[in-house]
Amino acid sequence: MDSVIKAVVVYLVLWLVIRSSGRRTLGQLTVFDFILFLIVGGAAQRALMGQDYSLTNAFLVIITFVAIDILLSFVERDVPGVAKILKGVPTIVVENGHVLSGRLRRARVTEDEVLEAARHSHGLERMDQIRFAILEASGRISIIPRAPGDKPDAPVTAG
Amino acid sequence: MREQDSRSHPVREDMGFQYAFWAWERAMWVVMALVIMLALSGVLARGALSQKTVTEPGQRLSLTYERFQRITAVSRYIAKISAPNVGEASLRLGPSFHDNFQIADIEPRPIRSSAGPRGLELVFLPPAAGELAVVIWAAPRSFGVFDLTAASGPEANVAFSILVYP
Repeated sequence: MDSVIKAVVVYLVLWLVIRSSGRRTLGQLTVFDFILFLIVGGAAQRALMGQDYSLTNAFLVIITFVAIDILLSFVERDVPGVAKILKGVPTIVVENGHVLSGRLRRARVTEDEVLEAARHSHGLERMDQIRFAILEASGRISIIPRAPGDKPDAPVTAG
Repeated sequence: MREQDSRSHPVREDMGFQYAFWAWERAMWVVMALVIMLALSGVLARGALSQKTVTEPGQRLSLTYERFQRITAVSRYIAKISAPNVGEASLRLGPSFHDNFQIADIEPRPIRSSAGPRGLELVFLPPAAGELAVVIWAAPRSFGVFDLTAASGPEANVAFSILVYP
């Protein structure tokens, strides 16, 4: 019984910590982030297993984790409000070449990272070549380039 | 359109939710910082606020221990006993300690030990001079609050509590 309770508690705490670390962590995993996740995994594994390294305990923990994941996928599918909390929502950070700087700052994403995504996905060089840059719920930045005939729009007001 | 407003193209935004989430995210950072501060202070075991010494009014027995501990993590107890220069010195740990804690090591080694309804009785040879200092390394086997007792002889008793985190 305690293995199942431990697995549920560890899942919940890991979810809270990873979710509150922001989408940066998920989308732009650096080498250091990767090592950090390995350490988090190691610490969680010790807490989950304790001194019981039996196959039964390992199976119990794995099955509990997968069962929680399946349960949450059903909740995400059927309850849109909860899906927002669990997955997050997409956020536009560049609109018609104008950077929505307040959003970028809060999401802890830099203009350089947006331009890097633009170069990587479409070979774009400047911000004004971007029609939309969207920070997806997954943490990735999607780029929609401007069409050649697009005219620049009025800048977005911050207030 | 203002920056705070939700767009519906090319994706359907919910900026009300997003701003609330960013606020929650920052609140969680504060909570995590507080947890780290609590850990550094010893409230989550091993630190300045965790270590405590209880002394029997007659100064014949004192016990230094960690009042915040974690399950299965070994911690140190130092019992100082004013021992007679001849004969034997004893330390009795109450039944609750015997039931809920696992002793990993005792220095010096007791010459005799026994367990019964009154707990664990350890008997030591006294030092040639001064008080006897017994160091016990023990780990809690379950979590919760434990009210414990230690005694040396019939009159020197101390009571102490330990909070064990899961």
